[in-house]
Amino acid sequence: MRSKNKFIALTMVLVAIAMLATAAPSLARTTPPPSYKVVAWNDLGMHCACPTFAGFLLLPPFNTIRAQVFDASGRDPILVTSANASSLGLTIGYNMIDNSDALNQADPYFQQWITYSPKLFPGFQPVVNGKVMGIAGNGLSGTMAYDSNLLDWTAVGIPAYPLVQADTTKNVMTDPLGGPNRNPYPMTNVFVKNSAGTVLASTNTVTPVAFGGCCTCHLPLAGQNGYPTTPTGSFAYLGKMHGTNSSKIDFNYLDPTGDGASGPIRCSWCHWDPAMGESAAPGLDKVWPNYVIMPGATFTKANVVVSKYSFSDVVHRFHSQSTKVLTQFDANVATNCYDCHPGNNVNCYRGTHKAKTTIWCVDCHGNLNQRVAAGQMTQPWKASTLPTCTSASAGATPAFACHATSAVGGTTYPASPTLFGKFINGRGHKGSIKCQTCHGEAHAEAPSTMTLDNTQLSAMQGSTSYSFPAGKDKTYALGVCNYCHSGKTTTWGVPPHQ
Amino acid sequence: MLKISRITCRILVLVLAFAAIFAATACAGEKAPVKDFDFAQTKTFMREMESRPDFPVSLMLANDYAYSLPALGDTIDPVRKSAIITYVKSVQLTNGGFVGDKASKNASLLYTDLALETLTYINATGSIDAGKVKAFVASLKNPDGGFGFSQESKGSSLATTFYAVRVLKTIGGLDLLDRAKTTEYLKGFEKKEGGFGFVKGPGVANAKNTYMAAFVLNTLGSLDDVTRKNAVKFLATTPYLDKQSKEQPELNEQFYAIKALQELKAADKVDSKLAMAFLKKIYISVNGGFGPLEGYGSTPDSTTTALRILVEIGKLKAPTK
Repeated sequence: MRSKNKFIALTMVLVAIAMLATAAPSLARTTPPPSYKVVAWNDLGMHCACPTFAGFLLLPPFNTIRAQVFDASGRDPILVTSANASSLGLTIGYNMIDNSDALNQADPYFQQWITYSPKLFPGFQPVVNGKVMGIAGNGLSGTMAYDSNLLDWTAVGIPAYPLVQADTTKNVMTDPLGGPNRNPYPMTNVFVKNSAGTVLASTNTVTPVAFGGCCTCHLPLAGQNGYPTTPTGSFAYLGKMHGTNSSKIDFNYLDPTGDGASGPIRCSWCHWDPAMGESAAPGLDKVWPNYVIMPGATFTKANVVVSKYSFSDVVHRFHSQSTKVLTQFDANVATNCYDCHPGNNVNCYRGTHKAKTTIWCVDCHGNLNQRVAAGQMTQPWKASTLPTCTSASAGATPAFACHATSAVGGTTYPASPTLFGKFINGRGHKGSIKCQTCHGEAHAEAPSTMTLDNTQLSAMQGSTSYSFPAGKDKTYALGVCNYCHSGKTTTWGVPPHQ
Repeated sequence: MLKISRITCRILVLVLAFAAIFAATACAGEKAPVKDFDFAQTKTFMREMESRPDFPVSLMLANDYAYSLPALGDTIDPVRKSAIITYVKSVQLTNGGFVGDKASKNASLLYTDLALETLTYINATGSIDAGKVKAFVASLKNPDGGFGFSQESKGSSLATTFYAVRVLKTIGGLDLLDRAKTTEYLKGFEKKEGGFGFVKGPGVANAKNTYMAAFVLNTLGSLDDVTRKNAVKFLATTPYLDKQSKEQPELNEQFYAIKALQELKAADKVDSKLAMAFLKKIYISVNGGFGPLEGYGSTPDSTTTALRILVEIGKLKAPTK
């Protein structure tokens, strides 16, 4: 009897082992499953770059790509993190399609970056072994790192740049210096590879980078004041104007490296700019201890101090209050954001808000007068001063109702959101899916008015087996459950946001 | 004889037919520029702001709307006219001056002029207290003959003096001016090559400041012949008159070049064809608007300026009576 029981027990154990072995892939996979999904986006929807770098630097070539990767082989997808990517032998990487090491280095404007960036960022090497590098250490291609705070794969500070492309249909951006048009929407391929180097999933996303409108006013401004209507003339006059403000510093007389030449200077040395990855302005003497004030200057080293104003503050406040700006260039500068931000046939604000209503930048962010009055620029780029889906920024008086709190309910935010607003950092569905994974990048929310932005979602939701209710299509925010959840509905809908 | 006559007749008919075709082509050419623009779409573009609950949004957009619609042959309905008047009145501060939007606290001559101009387009200048406006302008009068921008920025400039004079002219307050001093102040902005710039001393002239100076000097009765001729000479070097100019034309400057020539009694020198060629380049067929520069997107402001140019060169009807 005991041996019969032993036999039954042994048989049950063997059956259980056999059953476990059959079910093994979902419990303890050791090889990658067959179905991965990757969704990528640019963090802001637009980054600015300058055509010249010899005088001073507003912003460097610096673009950040983020992505979420899912193992979608089961009914419910699993977020691929650094932990399971490692065990599965996965690598998440990126490769810019329209920028390349050769093209960027051949571009005359980018060559200026290569020349002057080591002075702007001491110790930085813009080209390493023939490869163009960004100031955060990423090049035009490479691997992405997992951000366990934001739950996405990230490549920070890619040196993307608007180039003149052979395919001229891409060159929509006007060059303020009169050169040929350039491509402000270069694409980046983001991919998932296994340890053998096989691409398991990939997607393409827009990596927007454009010149702003600064030169449009500053070149004629220089001319009207007797300076050459060139970037050099413009910087010279800017320095003179800067010398007439309370700082007294005409930055034409600053020789940071002591090589006998003026500039280049970086505004964020003295004016705190979190967009440069700094929590405080370092001060010129900390960056270049042996800097020289050139002969003829009307200021001394005692004047060269860290400003109490952020860069965002001084730039926005000056332009909204300057009588020269208002009477000579644009009386409506407070609401004409494209005077400075990329609008020169780029039109960086291009998302669904623009398509459906007459919502303008100022409805969410406030116009310049409102932004200054509300003190937004004292904490620039921070979640505390940026709009959310349910409320405009402090000081703004939106003409339209924001999304209902209940509609966006359940969205979670990381404890330390670092830079940028809640849409950019937030997560909704299942507490782990980023807002931008489904809705696209900020300022280009799906469906975007620009076709290129919509290509990723169109590919994801392009199956002929998918159906959409009236008024929706594949360019809308990711809403076909079946795309990630095999066996679930193939009809587009609004997934739970928590 | 009869045969010859028939041939002659046939030749005559042919000649007349060719002449008719030529005339028709010529006429079509005359009208062609306006046909290059889809004004129905332009109206839709300018009317977009109507859908905003906060219409007319700001003083500048109110001005754009009040000018553009009549220029495009539309009328402004009483409800929106009333909304514009209400808005303009709401941005007049207690000191009599106007701000550009409700968030601003510092009234200036720039927005005071814009407010009055807006009300002029809708025949509603009587809806505000002109006495308070005059007092505001008087508070910004400087000993140098110029006027300041605002209580917070009291220094004189050519532009702020222009706005002061235009406001005073609109409300019938020119008696406030010291003609000799203001003339002397304005003349300081004249450049040796002719025309006026926005800073005294070195620098170059531009069309906007040349227009503003010519307007003020004309209003004061101080525009002398030498100044006038030199200014016209300067304008002849700009891309708005000089076909060989390498300078990139700009919308505001194009407009002010025309206005300046009119003030300088040289309206016959306005090159309408050059202006039309430029407008065609900045026209955005996607939405019927105009950009400020070639290759730039359209805004209500730049579209309105383009319409102002079309009015000045006689392609559209002026919105005022």
